[in-house]
Amino acid sequence: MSPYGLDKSCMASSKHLWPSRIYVSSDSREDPLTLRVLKRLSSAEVVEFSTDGDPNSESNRGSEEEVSAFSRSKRELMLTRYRGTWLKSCPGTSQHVCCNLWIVNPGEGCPFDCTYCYLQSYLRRNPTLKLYTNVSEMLSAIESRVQSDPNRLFRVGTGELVDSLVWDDLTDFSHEIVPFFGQFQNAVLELKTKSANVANLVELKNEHRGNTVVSWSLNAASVNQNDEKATATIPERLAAAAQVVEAGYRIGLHFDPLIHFQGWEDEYRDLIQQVFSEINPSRVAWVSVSSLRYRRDMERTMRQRFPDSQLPYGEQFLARDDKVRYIQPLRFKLINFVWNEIRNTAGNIPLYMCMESSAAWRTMTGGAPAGGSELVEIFSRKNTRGGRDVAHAQ
Amino acid sequence: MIENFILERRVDESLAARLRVLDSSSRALVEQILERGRPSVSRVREFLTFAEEIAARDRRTLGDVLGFHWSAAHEQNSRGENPRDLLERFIQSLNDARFPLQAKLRLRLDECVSVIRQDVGLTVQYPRDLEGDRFEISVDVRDDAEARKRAQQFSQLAEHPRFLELIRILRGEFSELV
Repeated sequence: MSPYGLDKSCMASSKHLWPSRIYVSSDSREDPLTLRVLKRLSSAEVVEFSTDGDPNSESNRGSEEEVSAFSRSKRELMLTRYRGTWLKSCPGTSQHVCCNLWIVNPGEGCPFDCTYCYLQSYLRRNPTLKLYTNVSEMLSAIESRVQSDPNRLFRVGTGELVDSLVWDDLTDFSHEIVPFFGQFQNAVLELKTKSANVANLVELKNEHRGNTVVSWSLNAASVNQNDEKATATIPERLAAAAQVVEAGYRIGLHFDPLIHFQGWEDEYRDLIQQVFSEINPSRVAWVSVSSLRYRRDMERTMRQRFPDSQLPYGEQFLARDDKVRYIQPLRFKLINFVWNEIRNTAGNIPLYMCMESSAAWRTMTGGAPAGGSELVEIFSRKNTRGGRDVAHAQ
Repeated sequence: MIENFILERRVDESLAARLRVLDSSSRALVEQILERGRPSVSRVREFLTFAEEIAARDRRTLGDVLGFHWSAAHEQNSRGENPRDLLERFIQSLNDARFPLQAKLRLRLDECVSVIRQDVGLTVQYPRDLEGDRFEISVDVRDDAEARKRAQQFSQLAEHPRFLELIRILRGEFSELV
């Protein structure tokens, strides 16, 4: 039973991914999140760590190879305090249109193991999974920023450096952040996941007040099978999505990264049909579409860690933002196909492209969003069931 | 011979390591290529990378890939061109195999440019990295008559099916090519 009374055994859990070793930094020992995690992971080895340094960082791991340390780190978790700026605007990518998401990172690293995951590059020097235990400081920082600018809409995501829900049955973090966002008139929380770990969210059905959007990354069945190790299957994700819709949440869908492979059109068409046969489009807050992209230095890591994957061998090139992407005609073909399938299946659903060029926007919609205005319109649409409007964004 | 190449050309550690672990059939082929194509270090890195990626993608051996494209370059080289041309053909063949769609698209785009030049008299440059949706056309105009002529050419261009095809391809509409 959860501390909130619901029997979670009937819901998908991520317990099989729970770490076997926990590093606890000395200053986080008494934080409530630390105590909760240690109680639930009573059989894990606990190592006290006196500094903030990553125990598996380049300087601490000795002669162990980077890729091997990265893989091993997926079974180790560090509980520590975060001392940086909590709320930041998404870095986006240069020369591409940005959706103006704000991000807050309750941790770093992900126990899932997707071939294409950019964290392999981004966190390669400090790969240990981390959860930040000074949650109250995080919430204070968000509150002060959101309240300082009441006419602006803050769409805040927690899924940049960690899957938003993969640890939720370990930490109950959603019990803190979802009701917290429920109090704002001008902020929406986006929880983005590849898990089916929604038991806590269902419990919070009377507390989210329409201000939390639960999002799933979705991909073709063969991509899910071959390149998204340890994640929930697509049917499991959709079942979880149906549960949160039932609990009154709106959901987000991210068809990202689109992958080019033999038979991609059939598989993405099937996926879209499957999604909208189970999810009512009126409950979808937004949908994003984007294609495979990664930093150049990640190619070697992908090949070493996933030697059977075909992802590094597509028709990619090094784009102007220093990321490897499919060549534009292929990228547009992928995006255009999925975009049109979604439009044909789900009608006038709010659709946008993540990290795509102005040329892509012109091709897909007839014009680039001026100053992000079209995107703002998408993200500030009325929540039809949560009961209230969000503020107009600038 | 490979070892000599590594020493004489001061090959960096990463490439040297890749060359030293080649199996016997790949080694024999690389030695042939070094001898007959006389590549620079960067060209060796280039063809080895293409060949390794094709081998991994198609689940073939490296020797098989190198052998196939080296033979193909030889067959096309029946006129006995110099080593540099032979090497260029070999690397182009590997490049086209590694990026078959790009090869097809560029061929078609170049055809379009050529037909437009012939029919309209304007040279259209498409973005070489295939990014974006802007074309470059530069024209010289000396007087009003020439300006009228250019205006006519631009009107022709706007209606030319090959120009519309250029636009379509960059936008990802190229079903007939795949």
